[in-house]
Amino acid sequence: MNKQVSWRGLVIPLIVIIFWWGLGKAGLINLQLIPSIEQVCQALLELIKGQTLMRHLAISIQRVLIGFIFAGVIGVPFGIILGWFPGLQPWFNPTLHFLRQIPPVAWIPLFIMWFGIGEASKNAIIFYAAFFPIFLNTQLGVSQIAKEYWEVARLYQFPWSKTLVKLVLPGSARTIITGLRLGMGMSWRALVAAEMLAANSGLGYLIVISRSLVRLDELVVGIVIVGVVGIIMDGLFVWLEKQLPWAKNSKEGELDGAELIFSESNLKDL
Amino acid sequence: MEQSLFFLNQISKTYNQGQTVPALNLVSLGIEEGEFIVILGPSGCGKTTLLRILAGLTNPSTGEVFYRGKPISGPDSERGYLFQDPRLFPWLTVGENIGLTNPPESVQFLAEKFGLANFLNLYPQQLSGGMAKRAALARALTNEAKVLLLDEPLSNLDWFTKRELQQELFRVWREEGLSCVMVTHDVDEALDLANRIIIFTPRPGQIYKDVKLELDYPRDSLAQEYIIWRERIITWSMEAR
Repeated sequence: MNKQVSWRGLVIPLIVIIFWWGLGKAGLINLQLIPSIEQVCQALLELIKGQTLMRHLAISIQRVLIGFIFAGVIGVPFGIILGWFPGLQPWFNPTLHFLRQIPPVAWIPLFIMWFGIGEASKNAIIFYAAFFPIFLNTQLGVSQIAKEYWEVARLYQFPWSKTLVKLVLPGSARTIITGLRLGMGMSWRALVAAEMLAANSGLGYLIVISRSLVRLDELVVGIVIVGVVGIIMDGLFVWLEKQLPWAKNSKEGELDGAELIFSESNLKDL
Repeated sequence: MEQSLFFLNQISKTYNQGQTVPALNLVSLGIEEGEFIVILGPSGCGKTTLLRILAGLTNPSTGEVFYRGKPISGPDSERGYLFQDPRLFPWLTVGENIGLTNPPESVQFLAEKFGLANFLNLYPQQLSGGMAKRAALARALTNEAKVLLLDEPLSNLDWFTKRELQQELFRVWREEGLSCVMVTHDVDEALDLANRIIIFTPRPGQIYKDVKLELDYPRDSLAQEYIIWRERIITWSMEAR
Protein backbone atom coordinates (compact mmCIF):
# COMPACT_ATOMS: atom_id res chain seq x y z
CA MET A 1 0.00 0.00 0.00
CA ASN A 2 2.62 2.47 1.13
CA LYS A 3 4.98 1.51 -1.68
CA GLN A 4 2.30 2.13 -4.25
CA VAL A 5 1.56 5.52 -2.78
CA SER A 6 5.21 6.51 -2.79
CA TRP A 7 5.98 5.66 -6.42
CA ARG A 8 2.75 7.17 -7.65
CA GLY A 9 3.43 10.29 -5.67
CA LEU A 10 6.79 10.67 -7.37
CA VAL A 11 5.40 10.74 -10.91
CA ILE A 12 4.31 14.38 -10.95
CA PRO A 13 7.52 15.77 -9.39
CA LEU A 14 9.52 13.74 -11.92
CA ILE A 15 7.49 15.11 -14.82
CA VAL A 16 8.02 18.64 -13.50
CA ILE A 17 11.74 18.09 -13.15
CA ILE A 18 12.05 16.60 -16.63
CA PHE A 19 10.10 19.48 -18.13
CA TRP A 20 12.16 21.99 -16.24
CA TRP A 21 15.36 20.33 -17.37
CA GLY A 22 14.15 19.97 -20.99
CA LEU A 23 13.01 23.57 -21.23
CA GLY A 24 16.33 24.73 -19.82
CA LYS A 25 18.24 22.58 -22.33
CA ALA A 26 16.16 24.01 -25.14
CA GLY A 27 16.88 27.51 -23.90
CA LEU A 28 13.20 28.22 -23.50
CA ILE A 29 13.26 29.62 -19.96
CA ASN A 30 14.08 33.13 -18.91
CA LEU A 31 16.98 32.66 -16.51
CA GLN A 32 16.25 36.04 -14.95
CA LEU A 33 13.00 34.59 -13.58
CA ILE A 34 13.54 30.85 -13.27
CA PRO A 35 16.95 29.31 -12.67
CA SER A 36 17.86 26.18 -14.59
CA ILE A 37 17.91 22.90 -12.74
CA GLU A 38 21.68 22.68 -13.13
CA GLN A 39 22.08 26.05 -11.42
CA VAL A 40 19.87 24.92 -8.57
CA CYS A 41 21.81 21.70 -8.08
CA GLN A 42 25.03 23.64 -8.22
CA ALA A 43 23.74 26.07 -5.60
CA LEU A 44 22.60 23.20 -3.42
CA LEU A 45 26.06 21.63 -3.51
CA GLU A 46 27.72 24.95 -2.72
CA LEU A 47 25.36 25.65 0.15
CA ILE A 48 26.02 22.20 1.57
CA LYS A 49 29.78 22.54 1.14
CA GLY A 50 29.97 25.93 2.77
CA GLN A 51 27.92 24.70 5.75
CA THR A 52 25.50 27.56 5.04
CA LEU A 53 22.56 25.28 4.47
CA MET A 54 23.21 23.23 7.61
CA ARG A 55 23.52 26.38 9.69
CA HIS A 56 20.24 27.83 8.47
CA LEU A 57 18.47 24.48 8.67
CA ALA A 58 19.72 23.79 12.18
CA ILE A 59 18.64 27.15 13.53
CA SER A 60 15.20 26.81 11.90
CA ILE A 61 14.66 23.34 13.33
CA GLN A 62 15.87 24.44 16.72
CA ARG A 63 13.39 27.33 16.75
CA VAL A 64 10.54 25.10 15.71
CA LEU A 65 11.36 22.49 18.31
CA ILE A 66 11.52 24.96 21.19
CA GLY A 67 8.22 26.64 20.33
CA PHE A 68 6.58 23.34 19.47
CA ILE A 69 7.61 21.63 22.70
CA PHE A 70 6.27 24.53 24.73
CA ALA A 71 3.01 24.39 22.77
CA GLY A 72 2.75 20.64 23.42
CA VAL A 73 3.60 20.89 27.10
CA ILE A 74 0.89 23.50 27.60
CA GLY A 75 -1.60 22.57 24.86
CA VAL A 76 -1.97 18.87 25.64
CA PRO A 77 -2.70 19.18 29.39
CA PHE A 78 -4.95 22.17 28.79
CA GLY A 79 -6.84 20.26 26.10
CA ILE A 80 -7.17 17.24 28.38
CA ILE A 81 -8.62 19.35 31.18
CA LEU A 82 -11.17 21.01 28.91
CA GLY A 83 -12.08 17.72 27.27
CA TRP A 84 -12.44 16.04 30.64
CA PHE A 85 -14.56 18.81 32.14
CA PRO A 86 -16.79 20.03 29.30
CA GLY A 87 -18.39 22.51 31.68
CA LEU A 88 -15.25 24.63 31.32
CA GLN A 89 -15.49 24.80 27.55
CA PRO A 90 -18.03 27.66 27.29
CA TRP A 91 -15.66 29.78 29.39
CA PHE A 92 -12.59 29.27 27.25
CA ASN A 93 -13.56 28.23 23.75
CA PRO A 94 -14.93 31.52 22.35
CA THR A 95 -11.72 33.35 23.30
CA LEU A 96 -9.56 30.56 21.95
CA HIS A 97 -11.46 30.40 18.69
CA PHE A 98 -11.06 34.14 18.32
CA LEU A 99 -7.31 33.88 18.84
CA ARG A 100 -7.11 30.93 16.47
CA GLN A 101 -8.39 33.05 13.60
CA ILE A 102 -5.43 35.42 13.85
CA PRO A 103 -2.51 34.26 11.69
CA PRO A 104 0.66 33.96 13.79
CA VAL A 105 2.47 36.29 11.41
CA ALA A 106 0.09 39.10 12.35
CA TRP A 107 1.58 39.07 15.85
CA ILE A 108 5.15 39.51 14.68
CA PRO A 109 5.30 43.31 15.14
CA LEU A 110 3.88 43.09 18.65
CA PHE A 111 5.97 40.08 19.64
CA ILE A 112 9.11 41.90 18.48
CA MET A 113 8.18 44.84 20.68
CA TRP A 114 7.47 42.58 23.63
CA PHE A 115 10.18 39.97 23.30
CA GLY A 116 12.81 41.79 21.25
CA ILE A 117 14.30 40.93 17.90
CA GLY A 118 16.03 37.77 19.18
CA GLU A 119 14.97 34.19 19.59
CA ALA A 120 12.21 34.80 22.08
CA SER A 121 9.89 36.49 19.59
CA LYS A 122 10.35 33.64 17.09
CA ASN A 123 9.68 31.05 19.78
CA ALA A 124 6.53 32.94 20.69
CA ILE A 125 5.34 32.84 17.06
CA ILE A 126 5.93 29.10 16.83
CA PHE A 127 4.18 28.57 20.11
CA TYR A 128 1.22 30.56 18.90
CA ALA A 129 1.05 28.66 15.61
CA ALA A 130 1.38 25.20 17.15
CA PHE A 131 -0.76 25.73 20.21
CA PHE A 132 -4.23 25.79 18.65
CA PRO A 133 -4.14 22.61 16.58
CA ILE A 134 -2.58 20.76 19.53
CA PHE A 135 -4.97 22.13 22.11
CA LEU A 136 -8.13 21.81 20.00
CA ASN A 137 -7.40 18.29 18.82
CA THR A 138 -6.54 17.13 22.32
CA GLN A 139 -9.78 18.57 23.62
CA LEU A 140 -11.64 16.94 20.74
CA GLY A 141 -9.93 13.60 21.31
CA VAL A 142 -10.83 13.52 24.99
CA SER A 143 -14.42 14.60 24.45
CA GLN A 144 -14.84 11.96 21.74
CA ILE A 145 -14.12 9.11 24.15
CA ALA A 146 -17.42 7.22 24.31
CA LYS A 147 -19.41 7.82 27.47
CA GLU A 148 -19.75 4.05 27.83
CA TYR A 149 -16.05 3.86 28.68
CA TRP A 150 -16.32 6.69 31.18
CA GLU A 151 -19.08 4.71 32.81
CA VAL A 152 -16.79 1.70 33.13
CA ALA A 153 -14.31 3.95 34.93
CA ARG A 154 -17.07 5.18 37.20
CA LEU A 155 -18.40 1.67 37.85
CA TYR A 156 -14.99 0.44 39.00
CA GLN A 157 -14.31 3.69 40.82
CA PHE A 158 -11.01 4.44 39.12
CA PRO A 159 -9.04 7.13 40.90
CA TRP A 160 -8.33 10.11 38.63
CA SER A 161 -4.77 8.99 37.91
CA LYS A 162 -5.97 5.60 36.66
CA THR A 163 -8.69 7.27 34.59
CA LEU A 164 -6.01 9.46 33.04
CA VAL A 165 -3.60 6.64 32.24
CA LYS A 166 -6.02 3.90 31.24
CA LEU A 167 -8.84 5.88 29.67
CA VAL A 168 -8.13 9.50 28.79
CA LEU A 169 -4.62 9.34 27.36
CA PRO A 170 -4.90 6.15 25.30
CA GLY A 171 -8.45 6.99 24.28
CA SER A 172 -7.38 10.29 22.78
CA ALA A 173 -3.83 9.39 21.70
CA ARG A 174 -4.59 9.20 18.01
CA THR A 175 -6.28 12.57 17.92
CA ILE A 176 -3.53 14.10 20.05
CA ILE A 177 -0.93 12.87 17.58
CA THR A 178 -2.99 14.34 14.74
CA GLY A 179 -2.99 17.63 16.65
CA LEU A 180 0.77 17.48 17.15
CA ARG A 181 1.20 16.76 13.48
CA LEU A 182 -0.95 19.68 12.41
CA GLY A 183 0.73 21.89 15.01
CA MET A 184 4.13 20.98 13.64
CA GLY A 185 3.00 21.84 10.12
CA MET A 186 1.55 25.15 11.23
CA SER A 187 4.63 26.12 13.18
CA TRP A 188 6.97 25.22 10.35
CA ARG A 189 5.05 27.49 7.99
CA ALA A 190 4.82 30.27 10.55
CA LEU A 191 8.51 30.01 11.27
CA VAL A 192 9.55 30.48 7.67
CA ALA A 193 7.26 33.50 7.43
CA ALA A 194 8.72 34.93 10.65
CA GLU A 195 12.27 34.42 9.45
CA MET A 196 11.45 36.18 6.20
CA LEU A 197 10.21 39.21 8.10
CA ALA A 198 12.60 39.48 10.99
CA ALA A 199 15.69 37.32 11.27
CA ASN A 200 19.27 37.06 10.18
CA SER A 201 19.41 33.29 10.04
CA GLY A 202 17.22 30.35 9.19
CA LEU A 203 15.70 29.01 5.99
CA GLY A 204 13.26 31.90 5.68
CA TYR A 205 16.15 34.30 5.92
CA LEU A 206 18.03 32.28 3.29
CA ILE A 207 15.10 32.74 0.92
CA VAL A 208 14.82 36.48 1.52
CA ILE A 209 18.53 37.20 1.32
CA SER A 210 18.80 35.16 -1.89
CA ARG A 211 16.15 37.37 -3.41
CA SER A 212 17.99 40.53 -2.34
CA LEU A 213 21.21 39.17 -3.83
CA VAL A 214 19.30 38.00 -6.92
CA ARG A 215 20.48 34.45 -6.32
CA LEU A 216 17.37 32.76 -7.66
CA ASP A 217 19.09 29.37 -7.59
CA GLU A 218 19.69 29.62 -3.84
CA LEU A 219 16.17 30.91 -3.38
CA VAL A 220 14.75 27.80 -5.05
CA VAL A 221 17.02 25.60 -2.94
CA GLY A 222 15.60 27.30 0.15
CA ILE A 223 12.01 26.74 -0.94
CA VAL A 224 12.57 23.09 -1.81
CA ILE A 225 14.35 22.42 1.48
CA VAL A 226 11.47 23.98 3.42
CA GLY A 227 9.06 21.62 1.66
CA VAL A 228 11.25 18.55 2.11
CA VAL A 229 11.85 19.15 5.81
CA GLY A 230 8.13 19.77 6.29
CA ILE A 231 7.25 16.45 4.69
CA ILE A 232 9.82 14.60 6.79
CA MET A 233 8.53 16.08 10.04
CA ASP A 234 4.99 15.26 9.01
CA GLY A 235 6.01 11.72 8.17
CA LEU A 236 7.49 11.34 11.66
CA PHE A 237 4.07 11.90 13.18
CA VAL A 238 2.37 9.56 10.74
CA TRP A 239 4.93 6.97 11.76
CA LEU A 240 4.36 7.75 15.43
CA GLU A 241 0.64 7.26 15.03
CA LYS A 242 1.20 3.85 13.51
CA GLN A 243 3.26 2.84 16.54
CA LEU A 244 0.17 2.80 18.75
CA PRO A 245 -0.16 -0.96 19.20
CA TRP A 246 -3.96 -0.97 19.20
CA ALA A 247 -4.07 1.14 16.04
CA LYS A 248 -2.19 -1.57 14.16
CA ASN A 249 -4.95 -4.02 14.84
CA SER A 250 -7.87 -1.72 14.31
CA LYS A 251 -10.06 -1.95 11.28
CA GLU A 252 -10.26 1.80 10.87
CA GLY A 253 -8.59 3.21 7.79
CA GLU A 254 -5.08 4.35 8.54
CA LEU A 255 -3.66 7.62 7.36
CA ASP A 256 -1.27 7.10 4.52
CA GLY A 257 0.75 9.32 2.27
CA ALA A 258 -2.21 10.09 0.05
CA GLU A 259 -3.90 11.86 2.91
CA LEU A 260 -0.95 14.00 3.90
CA ILE A 261 -1.89 16.96 1.83
CA PHE A 262 -5.44 17.11 3.02
CA SER A 263 -4.51 16.53 6.63
CA GLU A 264 -5.81 19.89 7.67
CA SER A 265 -9.34 18.67 7.09
CA ASN A 266 -8.65 16.37 10.04
CA LEU A 267 -8.81 19.36 12.31
CA LYS A 268 -12.44 19.32 13.20
CA ASP A 269 -14.06 22.35 14.68
CA LEU A 270 -15.35 21.97 18.16
CA MET B 1 -35.96 -6.53 55.19
CA GLU B 2 -32.84 -5.38 56.97
CA GLN B 3 -31.14 -8.63 56.03
CA SER B 4 -32.10 -8.47 52.37
CA LEU B 5 -29.27 -8.13 49.90
CA PHE B 6 -31.22 -5.51 48.01
CA PHE B 7 -34.33 -3.78 49.14
CA LEU B 8 -36.22 -1.49 46.79
CA ASN B 9 -38.97 0.66 48.21
CA GLN B 10 -41.39 2.18 45.69
CA ILE B 11 -38.83 3.00 43.05
CA SER B 12 -39.86 5.16 40.11
CA LYS B 13 -37.72 6.55 37.35
CA THR B 14 -38.58 9.03 34.64
CA TYR B 15 -36.22 10.30 31.98
CA ASN B 16 -36.34 13.82 30.64
CA GLN B 17 -35.69 13.82 26.94
CA GLY B 18 -37.67 16.82 25.76
CA GLN B 19 -40.68 15.12 27.24
CA THR B 20 -40.79 13.01 30.36
CA VAL B 21 -40.54 9.30 29.67
CA PRO B 22 -41.49 7.04 32.55
CA ALA B 23 -39.23 3.98 32.76
CA LEU B 24 -40.10 2.42 36.11
CA ASN B 25 -43.24 2.82 38.15
CA LEU B 26 -43.39 2.08 41.88
CA VAL B 27 -41.25 -1.04 41.97
CA SER B 28 -40.86 -2.63 45.39
CA LEU B 29 -38.69 -5.68 45.66
CA GLY B 30 -36.48 -7.59 48.05
CA ILE B 31 -33.59 -9.65 46.72
CA GLU B 32 -32.05 -12.24 49.00
CA GLU B 33 -28.46 -13.41 49.25
CA GLY B 34 -27.60 -16.29 46.92
CA GLU B 35 -30.53 -15.90 44.60
CA PHE B 36 -30.33 -16.03 40.84
CA ILE B 37 -33.05 -13.58 39.94
CA VAL B 38 -34.11 -13.01 36.39
CA ILE B 39 -36.07 -9.92 35.50
CA LEU B 40 -38.09 -10.82 32.45
CA GLY B 41 -39.82 -8.30 30.25
CA PRO B 42 -40.07 -6.89 26.74
CA SER B 43 -37.48 -4.49 25.39
CA GLY B 44 -37.77 -0.99 26.78
CA CYS B 45 -39.64 -1.93 29.94
CA GLY B 46 -37.08 -0.37 32.23
CA LYS B 47 -35.25 -3.57 33.16
CA THR B 48 -31.87 -2.11 32.40
CA THR B 49 -32.76 1.00 34.37
CA LEU B 50 -33.56 -1.17 37.37
CA LEU B 51 -30.23 -2.97 37.03
CA ARG B 52 -28.38 0.32 36.75
CA ILE B 53 -30.11 1.54 39.90
CA LEU B 54 -28.94 -1.61 41.72
CA ALA B 55 -25.40 -0.95 40.48
CA GLY B 56 -25.51 2.67 41.63
CA LEU B 57 -25.02 3.98 38.09
CA THR B 58 -28.42 5.66 37.99
CA ASN B 59 -30.46 7.20 40.78
CA PRO B 60 -34.17 6.55 41.02
CA SER B 61 -36.40 9.60 40.60
CA THR B 62 -38.36 8.66 43.70
CA GLY B 63 -38.15 5.83 46.21
CA GLU B 64 -35.29 4.24 48.11
CA VAL B 65 -32.80 1.46 47.33
CA PHE B 66 -30.77 -0.34 49.94
CA TYR B 67 -27.86 -2.73 49.63
CA ARG B 68 -27.37 -4.76 52.80
CA GLY B 69 -29.42 -2.20 54.64
CA LYS B 70 -27.44 0.81 53.43
CA PRO B 71 -28.80 3.26 50.86
CA ILE B 72 -27.06 2.98 47.48
CA SER B 73 -25.31 6.22 46.57
CA GLY B 74 -22.96 5.05 43.83
CA PRO B 75 -21.07 2.09 42.41
CA ASP B 76 -19.46 -0.34 44.84
CA SER B 77 -16.81 -2.96 44.20
CA GLU B 78 -19.04 -5.61 45.79
CA ARG B 79 -21.50 -5.21 42.94
CA GLY B 80 -20.07 -6.30 39.60
CA TYR B 81 -21.91 -5.30 36.44
CA LEU B 82 -21.82 -6.88 33.02
CA PHE B 83 -22.90 -4.38 30.39
CA GLN B 84 -24.86 -5.59 27.41
CA ASP B 85 -22.02 -4.55 25.12
CA PRO B 86 -18.72 -5.82 26.54
CA ARG B 87 -17.20 -2.31 26.80
CA LEU B 88 -13.66 -3.58 26.81
CA PHE B 89 -11.24 -0.70 26.30
CA PRO B 90 -10.13 -1.04 22.67
CA TRP B 91 -6.67 0.38 23.46
CA LEU B 92 -5.90 -2.27 26.07
CA THR B 93 -5.21 -5.95 25.47
CA VAL B 94 -7.53 -8.57 26.92
CA GLY B 95 -5.08 -9.11 29.77
CA GLU B 96 -4.83 -5.38 30.49
CA ASN B 97 -8.61 -5.08 30.42
CA ILE B 98 -8.98 -7.85 32.98
CA GLY B 99 -6.16 -6.20 34.93
CA LEU B 100 -8.16 -2.98 35.18
CA THR B 101 -10.12 -4.44 38.07
CA ASN B 102 -7.96 -7.34 39.17
CA PRO B 103 -4.45 -7.53 40.65
CA PRO B 104 -1.82 -8.63 38.11
CA GLU B 105 -1.30 -11.99 39.77
CA SER B 106 -4.90 -13.06 39.28
CA VAL B 107 -5.21 -12.07 35.62
CA GLN B 108 -3.67 -15.34 34.42
CA PHE B 109 -5.92 -17.33 36.73
CA LEU B 110 -9.06 -15.56 35.55
CA ALA B 111 -8.02 -15.93 31.93
CA GLU B 112 -7.61 -19.66 32.35
CA LYS B 113 -10.91 -19.94 34.12
CA PHE B 114 -12.73 -18.28 31.24
CA GLY B 115 -10.78 -19.92 28.43
CA LEU B 116 -8.93 -16.76 27.52
CA ALA B 117 -5.39 -17.81 28.40
CA ASN B 118 -4.25 -17.81 24.77
CA PHE B 119 -5.84 -14.47 24.00
CA LEU B 120 -4.38 -12.26 26.71
CA ASN B 121 -2.25 -10.28 24.29
CA LEU B 122 -4.96 -9.71 21.71
CA TYR B 123 -6.95 -6.52 21.43
CA PRO B 124 -10.71 -6.68 22.00
CA GLN B 125 -11.50 -5.94 18.36
CA GLN B 126 -9.75 -9.19 17.45
CA LEU B 127 -12.03 -11.28 19.65
CA SER B 128 -15.27 -13.00 18.73
CA GLY B 129 -18.45 -11.82 20.44
CA GLY B 130 -18.43 -14.70 22.90
CA MET B 131 -14.78 -14.20 23.82
CA ALA B 132 -15.36 -10.50 24.38
CA LYS B 133 -18.29 -11.27 26.67
CA ARG B 134 -16.18 -13.68 28.68
CA ALA B 135 -13.39 -11.15 28.96
CA ALA B 136 -15.93 -8.62 30.21
CA LEU B 137 -17.19 -11.22 32.70
CA ALA B 138 -13.65 -11.79 33.92
CA ARG B 139 -13.28 -8.03 34.37
CA ALA B 140 -16.56 -7.81 36.28
CA LEU B 141 -15.73 -10.73 38.56
CA THR B 142 -13.34 -9.07 40.94
CA ASN B 143 -12.21 -10.56 44.21
CA GLU B 144 -14.56 -8.28 46.07
CA ALA B 145 -17.60 -9.03 43.89
CA LYS B 146 -20.47 -10.49 45.87
CA VAL B 147 -23.21 -9.64 43.43
CA LEU B 148 -23.22 -9.92 39.68
CA LEU B 149 -25.62 -7.71 37.75
CA LEU B 150 -26.09 -9.03 34.22
CA ASP B 151 -27.65 -6.96 31.46
CA GLU B 152 -28.81 -9.33 28.69
CA PRO B 153 -25.55 -11.28 28.92
CA LEU B 154 -26.63 -13.87 26.37
CA SER B 155 -28.02 -11.65 23.66
CA ASN B 156 -26.40 -11.38 20.22
CA LEU B 157 -24.57 -14.68 20.57
CA ASP B 158 -24.83 -17.76 18.40
CA TRP B 159 -26.47 -20.83 19.91
CA PHE B 160 -23.26 -22.63 20.87
CA THR B 161 -21.58 -19.61 22.39
CA LYS B 162 -24.75 -18.77 24.24
CA ARG B 163 -24.94 -22.26 25.73
CA GLU B 164 -21.30 -22.16 26.81
CA LEU B 165 -21.62 -18.76 28.40
CA GLN B 166 -24.82 -19.79 30.12
CA GLN B 167 -23.02 -22.74 31.72
CA GLU B 168 -20.20 -20.40 32.64
CA LEU B 169 -22.61 -18.06 34.40
CA PHE B 170 -24.25 -20.97 36.20
CA ARG B 171 -20.88 -22.28 37.35
CA VAL B 172 -19.76 -18.86 38.54
CA TRP B 173 -22.98 -18.35 40.49
CA ARG B 174 -22.81 -21.79 42.10
CA GLU B 175 -19.10 -22.02 42.83
CA GLU B 176 -18.38 -18.47 43.93
CA GLY B 177 -21.44 -18.16 46.11
CA LEU B 178 -22.51 -15.04 44.28
CA SER B 179 -25.92 -13.53 43.99
CA CYS B 180 -27.02 -12.77 40.46
CA VAL B 181 -29.56 -10.40 39.02
CA MET B 182 -30.02 -10.90 35.32
CA VAL B 183 -32.18 -8.95 32.94
CA THR B 184 -33.51 -10.56 29.76
CA HIS B 185 -36.40 -10.71 27.33
CA ASP B 186 -35.83 -14.38 26.61
CA VAL B 187 -38.06 -16.85 28.49
CA ASP B 188 -35.74 -19.80 27.89
CA GLU B 189 -32.70 -18.02 29.26
CA ALA B 190 -34.73 -17.18 32.33
CA LEU B 191 -35.87 -20.79 32.76
CA ASP B 192 -32.38 -22.18 32.36
CA LEU B 193 -30.82 -20.09 35.11
CA ALA B 194 -33.29 -18.47 37.47
CA ASN B 195 -34.55 -19.66 40.78
CA ARG B 196 -36.80 -16.65 40.84
CA ILE B 197 -38.36 -14.84 37.92
CA ILE B 198 -39.84 -11.39 38.05
CA ILE B 199 -42.13 -10.62 35.14
CA PHE B 200 -42.28 -6.96 34.18
CA THR B 201 -45.03 -5.10 32.37
CA PRO B 202 -44.15 -2.98 29.33
CA ARG B 203 -43.08 0.63 29.91
CA PRO B 204 -43.31 1.99 32.45
CA GLY B 205 -41.98 -1.18 34.06
CA GLN B 206 -43.93 -2.57 36.96
CA ILE B 207 -43.76 -5.94 38.63
CA TYR B 208 -46.46 -8.12 37.15
CA LYS B 209 -45.54 -11.36 38.84
CA ASP B 210 -42.83 -12.55 41.22
CA VAL B 211 -42.33 -16.31 40.85
CA LYS B 212 -40.11 -18.76 42.75
CA LEU B 213 -39.07 -21.50 40.38
CA GLU B 214 -39.02 -24.88 42.07
CA LEU B 215 -36.92 -26.71 39.53
CA ASP B 216 -33.68 -28.62 40.04
CA TYR B 217 -30.39 -27.71 38.41
CA PRO B 218 -29.18 -28.41 35.82
CA ARG B 219 -32.38 -27.59 34.04
CA ASP B 220 -33.70 -30.19 31.63
CA SER B 221 -35.79 -28.54 28.97
CA LEU B 222 -37.49 -31.84 28.13
CA ALA B 223 -38.66 -32.58 31.66
CA GLN B 224 -42.39 -32.42 32.28
CA GLU B 225 -42.00 -29.91 35.09
CA TYR B 226 -39.86 -27.59 33.02
CA ILE B 227 -42.43 -27.60 30.22
CA ILE B 228 -45.20 -26.75 32.65
CA TRP B 229 -43.19 -23.86 34.10
CA ARG B 230 -42.41 -22.66 30.63
CA GLU B 231 -46.10 -22.59 29.75
CA ARG B 232 -46.86 -20.63 32.90
CA ILE B 233 -44.13 -18.08 32.41
CA ILE B 234 -45.13 -17.54 28.81
CA THR B 235 -48.79 -17.15 29.78
CA TRP B 236 -47.95 -14.62 32.48
CA SER B 237 -45.64 -12.74 30.16
CA MET B 238 -48.41 -12.46 27.61
CA GLU B 239 -50.86 -11.32 30.26
CA ALA B 240 -48.40 -8.67 31.42
CA ARG B 241 -48.62 -6.96 28.04
